[in-house]
Formats: sequence, structure tokens, C-alpha cells
Amino acid sequence: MADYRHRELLCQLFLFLCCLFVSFEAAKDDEFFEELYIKPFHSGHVSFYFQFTTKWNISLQDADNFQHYRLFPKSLGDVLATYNVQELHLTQTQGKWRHQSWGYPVEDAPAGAQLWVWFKPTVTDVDKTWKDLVNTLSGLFCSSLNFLDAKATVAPRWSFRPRGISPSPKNYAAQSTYVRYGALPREIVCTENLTPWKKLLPCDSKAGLSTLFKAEKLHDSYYHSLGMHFRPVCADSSCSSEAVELTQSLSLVVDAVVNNNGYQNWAMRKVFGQSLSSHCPLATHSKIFVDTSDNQDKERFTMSPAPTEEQSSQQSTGVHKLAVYDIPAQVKERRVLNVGANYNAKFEYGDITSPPVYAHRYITGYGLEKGGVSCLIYNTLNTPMPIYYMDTLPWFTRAFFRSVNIDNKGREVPYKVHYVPGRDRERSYHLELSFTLAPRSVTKVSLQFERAFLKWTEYPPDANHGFYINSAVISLLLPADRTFAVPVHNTSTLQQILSDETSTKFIRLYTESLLVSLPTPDFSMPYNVICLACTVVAIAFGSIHNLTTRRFILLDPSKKKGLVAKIKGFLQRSKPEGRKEESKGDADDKAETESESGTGENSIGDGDLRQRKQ
Amino acid sequence: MGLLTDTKQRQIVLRMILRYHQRLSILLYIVGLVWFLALAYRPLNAGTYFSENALLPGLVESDLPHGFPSLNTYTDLLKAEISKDKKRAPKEWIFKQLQSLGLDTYRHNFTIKYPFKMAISQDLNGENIFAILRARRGASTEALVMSVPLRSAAAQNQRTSTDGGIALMLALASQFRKNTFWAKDVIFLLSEFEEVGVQAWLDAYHESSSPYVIADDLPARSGAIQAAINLELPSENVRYLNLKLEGLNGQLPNLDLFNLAVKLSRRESVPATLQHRRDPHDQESWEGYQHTLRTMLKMMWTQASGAPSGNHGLFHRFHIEALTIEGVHKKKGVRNVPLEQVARVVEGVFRSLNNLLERFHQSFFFYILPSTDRYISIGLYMPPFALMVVAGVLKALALWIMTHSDVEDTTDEKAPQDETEEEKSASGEGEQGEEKETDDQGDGKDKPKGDTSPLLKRQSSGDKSKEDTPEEEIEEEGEGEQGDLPDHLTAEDLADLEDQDFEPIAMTGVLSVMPVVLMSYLLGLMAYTAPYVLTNFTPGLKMKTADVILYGILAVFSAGLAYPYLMNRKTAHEDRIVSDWRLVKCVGLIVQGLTLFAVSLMNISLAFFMAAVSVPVSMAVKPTRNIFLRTILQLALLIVSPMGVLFIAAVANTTMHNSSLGLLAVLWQAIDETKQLLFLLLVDQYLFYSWTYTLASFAFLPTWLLFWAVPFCDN
Repeated sequence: MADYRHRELLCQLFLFLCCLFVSFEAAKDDEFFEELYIKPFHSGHVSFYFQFTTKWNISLQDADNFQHYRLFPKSLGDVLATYNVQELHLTQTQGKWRHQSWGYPVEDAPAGAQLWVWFKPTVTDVDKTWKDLVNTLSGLFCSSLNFLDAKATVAPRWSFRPRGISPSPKNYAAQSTYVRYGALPREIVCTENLTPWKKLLPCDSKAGLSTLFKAEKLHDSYYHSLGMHFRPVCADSSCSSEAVELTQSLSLVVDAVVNNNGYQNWAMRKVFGQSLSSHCPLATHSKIFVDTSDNQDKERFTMSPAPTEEQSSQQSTGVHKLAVYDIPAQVKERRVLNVGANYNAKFEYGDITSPPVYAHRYITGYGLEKGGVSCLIYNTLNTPMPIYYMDTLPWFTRAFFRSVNIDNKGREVPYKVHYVPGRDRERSYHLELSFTLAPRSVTKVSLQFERAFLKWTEYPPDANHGFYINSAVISLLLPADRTFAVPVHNTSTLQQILSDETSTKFIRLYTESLLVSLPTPDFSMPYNVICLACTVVAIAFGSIHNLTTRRFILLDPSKKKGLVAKIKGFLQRSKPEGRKEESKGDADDKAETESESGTGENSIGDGDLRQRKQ
Repeated sequence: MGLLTDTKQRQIVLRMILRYHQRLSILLYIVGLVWFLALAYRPLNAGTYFSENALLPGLVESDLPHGFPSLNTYTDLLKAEISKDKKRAPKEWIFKQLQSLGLDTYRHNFTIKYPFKMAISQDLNGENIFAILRARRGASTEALVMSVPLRSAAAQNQRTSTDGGIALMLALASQFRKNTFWAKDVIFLLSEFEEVGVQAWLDAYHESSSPYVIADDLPARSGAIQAAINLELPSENVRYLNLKLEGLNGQLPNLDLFNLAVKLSRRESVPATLQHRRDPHDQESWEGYQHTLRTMLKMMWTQASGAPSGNHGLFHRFHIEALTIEGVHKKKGVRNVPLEQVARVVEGVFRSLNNLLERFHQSFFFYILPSTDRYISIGLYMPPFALMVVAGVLKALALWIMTHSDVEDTTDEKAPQDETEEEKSASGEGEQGEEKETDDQGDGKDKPKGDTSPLLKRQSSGDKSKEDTPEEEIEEEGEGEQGDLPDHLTAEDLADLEDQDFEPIAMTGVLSVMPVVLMSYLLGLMAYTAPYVLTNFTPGLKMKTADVILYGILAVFSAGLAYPYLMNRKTAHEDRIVSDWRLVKCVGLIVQGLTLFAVSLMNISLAFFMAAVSVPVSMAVKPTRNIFLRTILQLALLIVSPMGVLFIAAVANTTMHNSSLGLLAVLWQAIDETKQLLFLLLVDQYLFYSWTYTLASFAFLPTWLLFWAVPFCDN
């Protein structure tokens, strides 16, 4: 009996171990990469781009897969599974990426917060799911995403296609039923957004590159952007099975020249306040890439310490050189890693070659009645560039579709349009245009709007600050350049992106967000208005009430007065002294009435009424 | 409100107006004028204060290093650069300097097309330079502007040099570049051709176009501009800072911005002045009052012209608060202010502006300043101004009642007019001032008897205790009937007219004055279009444009003077205008009141000066058979005509600039000055959209022409 029980226990233990092993094996399907890409710009700035990639070999379509987590953050996974999210892209940015002097970022983002989501085709009520999702995310990321209500959300038709693999049905990606886009240009990004973002990382900020994230240094930069992108991808290059990928990125631009007495020197210790002393042990690889394309023979700067290896990739515009640091090896070698560059000469400001396509958007007009938005799109290439332009205007800037004009050197450019007019307090104006930029030219997209009067409770506390308008989005396929592009289906890590040699790359540019002032009442005015209105009403009410309720009686002076009236008249005349004045007034009125009654159109004054009452 | 329903009370009010309107309106005018001028007295105005808490002026320590060495370096470099080429401003060098600071630096080209077809109608090309300091972590949604006019060494003879401003801008730009606290972009703007350059830049920035200043597209922009500071600083011997506020069309910056500049200059112990006048020590004394009054009037004088007093003036149109800090250069400097101190003031102003969370909206936009620390808000200056204007409106009301009662009378009773008596008493007097008095007496005594008799009669017929007995009334009525000068169409006349197939309706009521009103507005339109039309012919005449404009407008004006004669021939068999002069004057006074009130809401100074000169004359004007009196009236009218006022302004300007001239010389120079003023007025109108000329031709001239018609009317 005892033996039997023993065997049973053993059996159970075996089963348990089996289960454990199986589940471990299953969970081992995920990988984590931590990478940093550093690029000095010709404007004296230096960009630091951190990317943390988690790739998990499961199928997104099976909701049961989101039960057991290893590297993938559970808090996010639960949200994604609950709301049937196919793809999710969230960026929180402070500052504006200056394309003209910095070129293209790995991942562009508009100022403030931006969220765009593709839902699974199984979702029936997309708007409600979106509403629930933004509320949940707003709690998860400590950001005001809950303000992305129907007034701030649009369903873009062309500009935001799924970035990962799309599920069946076939036309899923071609229609805008399952996609929602919203942006909050006013959202200020700060430490409270960094902390929850950091917590999604497998190593948090305990080890690896994320130990460099010290808020006070990050927020002293020129530009910083937190990104989180979730999408389904192919597990391998043949795309035989599905996987999901979570990319978390942090982009930072610092002004190296101002901080270093005119030299464009930079070092991790200087920029982040500390050096790197560990790598995340969960990471498959931890690497730092430094762009040395401009430093072919080390004539401009010298790297310290020496990189682990140097890579170069052939791109259409030339050789793209990278210095690569393998963090575990470097840390093992010298305990702390402080990557830096020392320049040989002082930095000289000059003209910077502009990127192929860039844009400048601004508010036109003055005064508080009308206004306009213009966007200049520059094409410096020798080839025509087809682009998508998307502009969303809040409902209180009432845009007119007839005013939409695309102009290139005085010629109107033909375009294809998707336009959803706004509705007051319900929906924003959504305009998507598709047209071609002529080679080496500037194309101007302009439209006019009318500023609406808000209800007085709709104004924010700082009404005179102005109201923000989302950035416009320009999407295009660029011929490969020494620029960066959104990762294609099977490239996930920076390593793959940087060495990608495909011929065309998809780029999405965000223009400036705008500030418009609306007609704003003087908010101390309601009090004055109430006082004034009450006074007017009181005065008008008295007299109108008097006029409408008074009885008008015609008196015939020729008719002989009756005895009663005579007595009354006599009594009135003999009233005491105190009443004398009034009675005299009465007599006046009476006299007047009598004298004028000949014309037959005169009224009887107060006196007569009084007389009657008496 | 009892007035609406109680005919008795209404009649009392009407009676009061008719009896006392003359005295009352003169009293109102004098009280208004005295009260307005008394506002400069310290106890009657208010001390300035900061409404906008976010400004936090002077809360932070200055970031500038002691001695501010980079300022001296830039000053020396700039001097060396200027000495190389005296004719042109060193634009290239400035551009390089700004670029080497790491700012986004751009050029902006523009073309000025002269508004009039002048003999030398060459287009002028200008170039602005601007650099944008992008704020860290900012998305370029808001910006501040620091602007300096570019003046070549040659052009500096007329105006103060701005070298100091340029050096200071460069030094501050290099300093601001290092600071991490900027929340708004700072735009450094160097504009050529003074106001025109700024206008071109602002037009390009907001994509608003102008037919005369043609601006190229801007290569880059920042966001909404919140405030602008214009610097006009010489490089050495700055004695004090003069703050210039008056913008286009009399617009002023928010008072908080001015307070900010004053407060920060005080903190850095740099003397700040208004209209080059320091605050008096004891403002409550008589001397102090005189001083502040003169400051106030000088400020109002500048504002009234509607021309911008500096480059800042053009920003106001775009709802950008702006002022000019002018460093005043004195050759014999005893206690000069080092430029470093001025730099600290400017730095402080920008750091305060950087703190702003909202656009300037808290403090006053409508105010008058008697000194740098006191202000007169719209709430304080409107009541006295209203009194002055109401004086005229009251007179109009009285005239309306008179004519109205007469119209009634012509239908059922005979018009009891008593103008003969008034005429007699008036004719005995010579001086205009005395004439007013007699008017006063005459109206006070006679009008209640004569004009108001129908009203009075109704009330008093049953009232034995009233002062006017029915017997007297009847007697006077008799007199009225017998009066040989009925100033209005009596029933007999009407009958006559009917015989001649005239429509009687055309001769009574407001319609009868419509031709006069229409004519005066047509003349206004002529005056408005004259400069443009006339200058089209000038190239053939080989005259100076300014001359053509002056003579052209004088011609239009003369046509205006002659129009009563033109009207006469058309209208009737008599050689006078057949409309009730009282109605014409009444309409004129009401239009004048409306115009002045409307203008006062935009440019109080202009409205005040116009009211001060035109209200008394317009109240006094009336037709008279006395040639002497009529000449005096017409002379007075001429003086308060738009042309006359312009000439007075020219005389005042000439005496203000050089007080040592004799009377004749002043008058002679004033003619030149008038020409210049007129020309500038038109140039401002075409280039900057100034309203002053438009106002003069569409508001002041037609109103005045209505009064001009009055002496030509029947009496």
C-alpha cells in the first residue's frame, strides 16, 4: 500500500516535471535584444537611439497563448489579449525631430503622445473597444490617453497600414474599419511616463542599457521620445510561422557642441551621468552601434574605447560604416564601458544637406475669425515622389474642403482624396491626400478654416494659451538612402535594420504641431454680463409689465358726472394736507385727459387708476 | 423707464432739455475736457501693477557673466566691420555670426513697390536676416522675437544708430544658446528699411499678402509669436532708455509688457522714460502735475497720428505684444549706462516672457500713461470723454425735439417760432465766444417760450400753477404767426408748393437732409480715392508726388467747400439749401457723436483731440444773416476741418521740434510739414494698412461737411 502510494507520488512528480519541461520549452520561444545606436549629426547634435526588442514565437490569433509569460511583459500582454489588438503603436515625445538638420530618425514621432492601433477582425464594436483600450493604456502608461475620445480619433485610410503581417480576410489592411489613430500634441512627457515604460523591460532598469536612464539627464536633452510598438511578424525569413514582436525605443538628441566648449565630443558618462557596467543577462545580444560613416579614416574623431568590431554595409548612396561594441565582452574586459568620441577640431556650423523629402507646416492668417494651415513639402530628389498626406484638424477649426489646394510652382497638383468632414463636438476633420511631388520642387498644401466659438465651459483653464492642432503625417516610399526606415516584416533588431540593403524604404514624417488661438471671452466677464443683463431685464420688465397690465379706459368729458363721482371728487379735494400733492397730480391728469380726449386717442394716466381704486 | 410710459415725465425731461440744453452742453464739454486733462493728476489715476502672475519679473538672477565680455567683443568686431563699408549695414557678417552660434539662420528678401506712380518708380529690394533659437524639448509652437533695425552708417545721421542693439543681440544669442530653460523659441530678426522690413517679414510669417510690400516665402518659421522686443541702441553713451509703445492705428501693447520693461530697468538701475520724459519727483505737486500732463499729451499726440512710433508698431496688428527699447544717446555723457546693464534688462525681459503660460491677456490694452508708474485705464478716461461727446449729442437731441414739434405743429397748429428775437440778440455780438453766450441766453430765455410752446401748452392748459400761463402762450403763438421769418415751411408755404406740383414730403423730415448727407459722403469717397487717381497723372506733370498729393487733396477739399453752392442750384428757386438747418445740424451732431465714440474705442487719443476741437465749433454753428458772424463761424469751421486739423498738427510738430522759430517761419515750415504728414499718412495707409487717412476721409470729412452746410441753410 505504502509502495503504491510512493509510486503514485513519483508518477505525479514525473508528470509535474514533464509539464514544467514542456512549458519551459514552449516559453523558450522568446528572445530579447538590447541595442543602442549613436549617430553624430552635422548640426552638432548627437542622437542616441535605444531599442529593446522582445520576439515571441506564438500566434497572435490564438488568445490562449497569452497565458504564460517569460520575457514579454504580462501587464501589456493581458491588455493586448483582452482588447483583441492586432497591432499597437504608442509614442510619447517631447520636442520636434528636425528633419532638415538631423535627417530621418529610425522611428519618427510627433510631439506629444500618439497612439494607433489595428484591432483583430473579430472585434465587432471597434469604437467601444478603442475607448476601453485608451482608458486602460492611459492607466498603464500614466499618460492622458483617455482624452483620445471620438473627437480626437480618426480612422486613417491610407496613411497607417498594418506594419506587421495581416490576418485574413484578404482586404483587412485595405480598409480603415479596424484601425484607429489619435494624437495628443499637448501631452507633456516626463518621468512619470518613463517609469511605467521602463517596467515593461525584462531587466527593468536593474541591468543593461536601461541603467543609463536617469530622468534628469534624459529630460535635459533637445528631443526625447519613448516608443512602444507591438506587431505580429514572421518567425523566420520563410514566414512559415507567426511570432509577435514588442519593440520599445527611446530616442534622445543632445547638443554636444554647446556642452563641450565648441567640440562635438560626447561620452556616455557625460550624456547619461554614468557609464555602463552591466548587460541584461536575459538578452540574446547587447550591442552598441556608432555611426562612423562620416569618419572614414578617423580624421574627424577617435572613438574610445576601441570598438569590438567595425561593420560596413553597401548602400545605394555609399558605404555605411558602423563601430560595434559588444557590451558583455567590453564590460567583462574593463568593468565599465564609457563609449565616447573625441573630435580633433572645433565644430564649425555651416549649411547642412537637407534630406530627400521634408516638410514645414504653419498657421496662416491673423485675427480670430479665420485662419489657415499651410504645409510646404520639399522634394530635393531628381525623381517625382508619390506621397500620402494626412491632416487632422479639431472640430473647432472648421475646415473647408473647397479651400484645399495643392500648389507646385503656381500649378495645381491633381490629387486623390479621402475626406471626412468634422462635426461640432463630435468628430474632427480628417483629410488624406495622395499626390506626387515634382522633382526638385516645393509643393504647398493649404486649407482654410474658421475658428469656432466654444461654449464657455469648454475652455480649458488656460484658455489664452491656445489650442493645439495635430501634426500632419506624410508617408512615402523612399529609394534607399543613408537614412533609416521602419523595419520591414522580418527585420526586428537594430542590427538587422542597420544592415538592411533593400532598395526602397518606407518613411513616415511628422510635421510641426500647431497652436491656434480661438476667440476667448474675458472670463471675468460673466459676472459683469450677469449684472448688466439683470439690470436690463429688471428695468425692461417693470415698464413692459406696467404697459401690458394697465387698463385703458376711455372717458367722455361731455358726459355728465354722476353724483357718486362728484362726491368722490369733492372728497378728494378736501383730503388732508399730506395727500394734497398727489391729489393735485390727479387733478392734473384729469385735466389733461379731459383736454385731450377730444382727439380720442389718449390714455388715462396713473392718477385715474388711483382714483378708481380709491 | 418711466419715460416710456409716462407722457408727463417725458414731457418734463423734454422741457428740461429744451430749456437748459445750451447751458448743459457747454457745461458738459468743459467739465469733460477739464476732467480728462485732470486725469494726469496723480490722485486721479492708478499705479501700475502686474496682472499676469506668470511673468515673475526679476525673480531669477541674471545669467550673464560679470562684465559680459562677449558683448564687448561683438561691439568691437561690429565697429571694425562697419568701418569697412559705411554705406551698407554689415549684413553678411551678421549672418555669419548668427550661423556660427549654431542658430537656424535665414535670409528673407522682399520688394517694395511704391504705392504711387512716382517719377522714380524703381522697385526697392530689401533683405531681412533672421535666426531661430530652437527651444530644447519644445515643438516650436510658441516664439518670442527680438528685433533690431539694420541701419547703415550713412543713414544714421537722421536716426540713432543701432550698433549697440546688434552687438547686444549677438551677445545675448550666444548666451541664450547655452541656457537650458527656454520654453519658447527665440527669433532674432534684423530688418532692413525700418518698418517696411518688419512688415514684409510679418506678412511672410503669417502668409498675408500686400500689394506694395511683396515678401518672399519664409524658408522657416517657429510657432505663434507671443511678444516682440525691438531694440534701438547705440553702441555707447546711452544716457537712458526710452520706451516706445504706440503702434499702428494707435494700438498699444498690453500694459503688462510695458510694466515689465519698466520694472526690470529699475531693477538694473537704468533710467527708463516715456516720451523722453522722466517721472517727476513729486507727482502731486502743481509742477509734477504739469509734467505728467505734458507727458500724457505727448503720448496721446504720438498715438493720435496712428503711425507706428517704431518697428514694434507693426506687430500689434498680428496680436503680438511689442514695444521698442530705445537707448538715447547723449554726446556729453555724465552718467552713462553701460550696455551690459541694458543687456541685463533685455535678458530679464526675455526670461520673464519665457515664463508666460498664456498670451498676454490679463492687463489693459487700452490705456494712457502720464508717467512710467501710473496709468489711466479705459474705465477712467471714457467718462470724461463721453461727457465731451455727449455735449454735442444733447444739442442734437434738443434740435431734434425742436424740429419734431414743429413738424407736428405744421399739421395741426401754426409753428410758433421765435427765431427773430434770437437773431436780434445774436446779431449784436461780435466775438465768437460771446456769441456762444448769447446763444445760451437766447436759448435759455426764448426757446422754452417759442419752440416748446406746443408741448407746454398741452400740459399747462389745465394747470394754473405753471410758470407759463395759457394767456402768455396764446400771445406768443400770435407772435409766432406774425413772425416774418418762419424758419420752417409753414402751412402757407406748403400750399404754395403744392400749387407748384412739389412734393411736400421731400421737404420735411430726415429725408430732406439726405441729399446733403449723400453729397458729403460722396466727397469723402472722392477724398479717399483722390491720391491714387491723381498720382496716376503725375509722371506727365513732372511734379513731386508729395506736392501732387497735397494740391490734389486741397482741390478736393475746395470742392467740398464749394458744395453748398452746388447744391443750391439744383434744389430750388432760392439760392439757399432747402433743408432745415436744425435737422442738418442734428444729423451732423449725431454722426459726429457716433464717429467719435467709435474712434475712441480704437484710438482714444485721436478721438479726444478731434472731440476737443470739433465739438465746440459744431455746437455753435448755425445759419445767420450777419456777415461778420458768419465769417467768424466759417473760419472756425475751417480751422476744425480735417485739413485744418492737419495743419494745426503740422504747426504743433514744428514748434515741438524747434521752438526758437518766429511765427511766420513756423507757418512756412508747417506747410512743408503738412505736405510731409499727408504723404506719410498715405504711405502708411498703402504699406501698413493704417486707418487714419480712411477715417479722415470717410468719417471726419463728411461729418465736417455736414456742419459746413449749416451756415448755407435757410434760417
